[in-house]
Amino acid sequence: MEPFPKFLASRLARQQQTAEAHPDADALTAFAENRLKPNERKPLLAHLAICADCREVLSLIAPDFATAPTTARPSFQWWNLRWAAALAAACLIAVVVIHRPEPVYEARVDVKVQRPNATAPEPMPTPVQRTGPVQPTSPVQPTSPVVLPKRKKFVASPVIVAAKPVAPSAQPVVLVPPDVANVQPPTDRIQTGQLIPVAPPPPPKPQSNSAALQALADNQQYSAAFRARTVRALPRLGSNLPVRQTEWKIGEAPGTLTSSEDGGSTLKTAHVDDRTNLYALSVSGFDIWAGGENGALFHSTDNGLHWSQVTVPVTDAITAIHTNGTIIRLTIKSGDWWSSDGGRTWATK
Amino acid sequence: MLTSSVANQPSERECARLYSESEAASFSLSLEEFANLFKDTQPDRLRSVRLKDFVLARACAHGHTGAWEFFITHYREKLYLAAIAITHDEVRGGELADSLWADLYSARTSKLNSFLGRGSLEGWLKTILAQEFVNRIRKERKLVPFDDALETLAQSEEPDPLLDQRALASATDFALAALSAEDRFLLAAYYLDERTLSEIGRMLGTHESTISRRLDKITNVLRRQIIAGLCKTGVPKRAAEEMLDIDVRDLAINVREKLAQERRA
Repeated sequence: MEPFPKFLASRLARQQQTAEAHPDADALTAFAENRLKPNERKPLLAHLAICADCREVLSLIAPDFATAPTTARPSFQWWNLRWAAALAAACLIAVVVIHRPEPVYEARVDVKVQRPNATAPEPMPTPVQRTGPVQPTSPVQPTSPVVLPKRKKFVASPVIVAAKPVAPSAQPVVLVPPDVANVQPPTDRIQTGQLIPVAPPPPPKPQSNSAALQALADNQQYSAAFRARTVRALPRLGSNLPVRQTEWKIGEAPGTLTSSEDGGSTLKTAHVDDRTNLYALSVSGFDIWAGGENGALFHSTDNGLHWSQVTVPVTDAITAIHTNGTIIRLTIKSGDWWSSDGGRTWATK
Repeated sequence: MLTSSVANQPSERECARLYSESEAASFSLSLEEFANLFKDTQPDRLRSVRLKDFVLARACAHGHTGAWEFFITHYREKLYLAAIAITHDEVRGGELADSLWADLYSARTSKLNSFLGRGSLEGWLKTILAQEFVNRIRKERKLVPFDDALETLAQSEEPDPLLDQRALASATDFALAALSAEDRFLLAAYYLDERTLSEIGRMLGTHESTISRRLDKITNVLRRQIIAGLCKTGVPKRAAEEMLDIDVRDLAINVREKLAQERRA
């Protein structure tokens, strides 16, 4: 208890009065029994603060707690449970947070880009075609592949094959990953995360021993001849394209451009221009240059999905192409040609 | 006027309900007698009081025999026990209770007429006894011997050392006046009457720990307000705090004895 200065007690004592009028016994009794209303209690307290006699009377009639039901507090009050209620709420929140179920993923997916098919009718066909809105639950026949519409800026049309299908007997499903969706694909029909059944890969065709040996010899021959010209396409730093590795080769078949996604095990022919034999190749990330006979030069900025022909003022065959991202050098029988503006203008030295 | 008078009277149905609630039949008060007793009383007033005690007191005040028998049976012993508890003396308690009993039994001006039923009849009786006891004590205090009165007068003529400290006195008075009535009651009961926390708690119907906390808070508030009041009058804060902390009367030095010792020396 704080010490009470004596001068303060002195000033307090000076305020004490010998009042002429005291509250009646009824009011004091009601005060002692805690039956006064607040507006009645206040003036009585003001009198008690200055009247020692009435305080004395009040102390004489004040009931003990045990014998005063009007002043005794009830043993149980809901308000006393406020802290318990807060604690219970905190525990409940903690339990909900701890036992929150983790999201269940149906399958892990591996990204695999299928190269265009040689028999596709379009010049640059996409491997997966979509003919209409595909519902996740609608069955798709294996012979009716899903066809995506042609895209202008969209780089890849990846087919994501579920590595672990939900059911072993179920067909592989196609899942458009979120990162591909970020490149703004035409999502008017396929939504991100939508499961699309696709046809299973065709079984390998049986080959005779002689044919297999011949193919092996061809492979070895061309591999030795063009190994030095094998280029692996790697994504450039900062590119928002999906990470994949594609190896490009010239001359697996004479005058053709081939690519492989699996380190050379599976080769796919890129149909840049079926009427032109290609002899030179330069790859820088997804930026691919391919040159061939009659000064034909082709350029792709999307890892070979789309090709455009670049006009070069030469008629001789392009035998080598070198690029460093900004400058392109073409090696031709008559000499080298240079371009520093992406192939719009050319100069020779 | 007639209309309002009639409107203030309880209806028969209301009267019968109040009669039943008051248990007036337990002291042989009939419904007609009940209606006559409260014919000028508003029903709202009867609803807000302790009805059974109020009806009993009013019936006793009007000399109802059954009511007196009930009152004597249930309250006489309690009255004497309460008087002894107040006076802490059996003889004085008996005298106090007898005098009150005589006042209650007076046919014309029974004190029971002043019972309004805001509290219980038993509590009211105790309050009457306590008031009478305090009045007697006050009268006894007034009859002090002449020599003691002179000494008291001489002490009261001693100059108040605080008289010169007008600023402190006015700041203290202002801070005390700013307190609520209950806070001033607590200060007076604890520091002037020197009652215990338990006694004050019983008087206010709260626990003594609550009283302790409130007293701490009040003294802190008082201290801050007095310092603020002194600062307003131009007293530096440090000096104001020293004025609060150092009080010459706290030094417990008997100046007279000191002076007497110096004279002898």
